Amino acid sequence: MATQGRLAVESVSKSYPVREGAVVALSDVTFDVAAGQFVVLIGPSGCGKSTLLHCIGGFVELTDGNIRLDDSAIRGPGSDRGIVFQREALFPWMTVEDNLRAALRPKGITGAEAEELIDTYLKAVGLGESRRLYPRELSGGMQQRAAIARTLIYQPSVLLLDEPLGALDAQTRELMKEWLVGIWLREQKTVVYVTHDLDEAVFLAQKVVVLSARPGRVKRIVDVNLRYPRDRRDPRYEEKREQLWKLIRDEVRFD
Amino acid sequence: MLDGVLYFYPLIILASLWEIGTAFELIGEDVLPRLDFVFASLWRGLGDGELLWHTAVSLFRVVGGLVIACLLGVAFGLWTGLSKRWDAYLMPLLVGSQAFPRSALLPLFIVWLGLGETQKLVVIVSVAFFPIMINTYEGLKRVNESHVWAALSMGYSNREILRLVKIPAILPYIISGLRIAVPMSVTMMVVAEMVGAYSGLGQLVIIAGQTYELAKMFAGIVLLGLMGLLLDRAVEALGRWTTPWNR
Repeated sequence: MATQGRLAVESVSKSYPVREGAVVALSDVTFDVAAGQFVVLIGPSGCGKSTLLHCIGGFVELTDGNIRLDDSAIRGPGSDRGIVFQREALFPWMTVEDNLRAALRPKGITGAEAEELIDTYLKAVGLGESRRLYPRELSGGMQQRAAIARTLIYQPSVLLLDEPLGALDAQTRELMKEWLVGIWLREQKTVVYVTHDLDEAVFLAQKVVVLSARPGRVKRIVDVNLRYPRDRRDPRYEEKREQLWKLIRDEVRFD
Repeated sequence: MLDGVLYFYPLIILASLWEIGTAFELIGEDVLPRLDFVFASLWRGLGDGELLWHTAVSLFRVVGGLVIACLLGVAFGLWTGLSKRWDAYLMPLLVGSQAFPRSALLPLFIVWLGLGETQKLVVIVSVAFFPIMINTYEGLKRVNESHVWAALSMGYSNREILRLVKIPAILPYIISGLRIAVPMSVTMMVVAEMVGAYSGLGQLVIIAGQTYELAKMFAGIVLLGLMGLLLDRAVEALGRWTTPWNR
């Protein structure tokens, strides 16, 4: 079990100035993530779930509240948290292996040691053959796997995934879900995963934080205590899905 | 092969009409010289070195101007794009200077700088600078924020991110700015050479026109067209070489 990567989100609020006044994206959000836990943030579009993830990443300043990682307050980006975005997550001007090399350089890892790590991680995500290709020469699923490898390779204790499967086709997404469970079970890292897809939430999460429509508040925290890999024919799977849908459907509006 | 024919067919039709029209004297030689005379003049001029010399001088001016414009344009684009303060100070000046037709300032450039190479380079830089500068600036505004964030997460400093993320991200913008600058530079160079110069294709063309050597004039025009085409291809190749990921 992981010993690092414990997150505490404490009464976090975030508002953005706009032309007239301010938009409140998040309001008084509080929840905990245990070390090594897989947590999914779910909510209707515009509820601030991505903003919350960016706050945990330290890219966006909080208006109010606090986020702690292993008891120290987050004050900006750091290599203890790695992030993967929905699309164009890799640097398009670098080959796959150069992307991974770039992720190691600030840690001072170069030369033979770096090459060995790159080899290991690319093989782990099934991209050993594609290391000299540019991102745009890869399929969407391969790009996301490479982006996850690039994040894992510098050993952050928390993995922040911002709708990582959102730009993929349905079949690739299914395979990627199973693959993600495997990677998480092996790497034993804390994962905070943003999605609006109910099945992703029930298939992946140990804990689902349901956010309300804007301003995002914690509407409910739902634990999913099902064994991995999860079986969709299990009646409890469908029950959880149904429960989440009921929570979210009140929040979803036609714009 | 067929693709080549399809690509060039308008030229082939035009050249055929021209040659037939002039050879059968349907078009007077005071209007158009015979096309074969143009090529003969071209051949002779290149052989005895006269045309070759003027071409080399013009090419040197354009390429020199473009190189200087590139250095200045990228420098000012980065400067204004990275600093909000300098953006506010410099942008009105840079944009305002564009409103002036540079060709109208040619006599002033001649008074200040004479007819030498400095004047030619300044004139070319004065038009080629802006598209490169503004593209660099716009490119910086369009750097994908998530790339910057990813680099921050890896532990890069803001200064390192300029080299790691921002410069590569704006390279395609610089190249397309350069591509816009090429025909502007060629045009401005010709104008400058016509207004006052001792050499260059623009000077050759205007003198040939004044002395009624139409074949020679067209030889110069053909070379100018080829120069524009060649420079555009060169910039395209430079783009492929510097941004191989950007197909």
